[in-house]
Amino acid sequence: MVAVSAKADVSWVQGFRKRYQEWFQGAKPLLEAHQGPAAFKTYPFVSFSQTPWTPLRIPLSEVCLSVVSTAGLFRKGIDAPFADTAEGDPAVIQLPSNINPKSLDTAHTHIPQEPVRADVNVALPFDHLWDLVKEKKIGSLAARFFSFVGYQTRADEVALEMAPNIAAAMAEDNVTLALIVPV
Amino acid sequence: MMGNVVPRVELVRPPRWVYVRFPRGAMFGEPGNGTKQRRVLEETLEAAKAIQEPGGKIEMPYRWEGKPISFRGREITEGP
Repeated sequence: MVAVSAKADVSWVQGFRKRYQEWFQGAKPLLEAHQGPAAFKTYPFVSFSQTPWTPLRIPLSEVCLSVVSTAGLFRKGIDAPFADTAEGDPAVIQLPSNINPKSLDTAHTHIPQEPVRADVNVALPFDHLWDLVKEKKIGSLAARFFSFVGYQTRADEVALEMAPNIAAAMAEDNVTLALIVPV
Repeated sequence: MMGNVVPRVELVRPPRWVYVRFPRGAMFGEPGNGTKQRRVLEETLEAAKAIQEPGGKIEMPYRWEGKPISFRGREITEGP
């Protein structure tokens, strides 16, 4: 993917990084023991004063849609599964939108994996998206969807690297509507 | 954007979002329930047009109709 500069407000990053280092020192043992609720009680959550907004000016029947899933989906036998680390694996996998959903698995260890493995449409509804295209209810699907593990403690890296890279790839694909599906 | 935990989603201030009351990991409903998954997806996409103000939210009326999901010693039918 092409790396681009973040255009969003990143004025919070410097202060966040300082507070994050202090937090992580104490939280790391809890995170490694998968004791999230205890660890995140003191997480330096960032607050924002503005809500971004771009109105959707075209009908759904004309949009080019891409989807971002945080379910940690990867292609079995093709992609390296996401690593299970205390801070979360920052890798982003590009999934062809026309992939056979049955070829996918999840490596997200902070969610129940059984429902996703039983039917990936519960997290990223490939089958229904293509049905909506065939029925002309949405214009088209972008060539690429994006997958990562939603468990990410480094909010600065999400804002400065992961999200801008995904946005740049979507711009290359002429995406006009993005659906973000956290799990 | 979709979400199943109101305070967490509101923290990140998405432009528009849909609140689904399903357990973590299954934002479109139960495995194998294609009818419900399709309905949730379609209504989510329609929300992109229907929501006219920054931060607008639409709550889906659907509930989990399958067996509770076991996760780390808890039985979940909604939320994290």
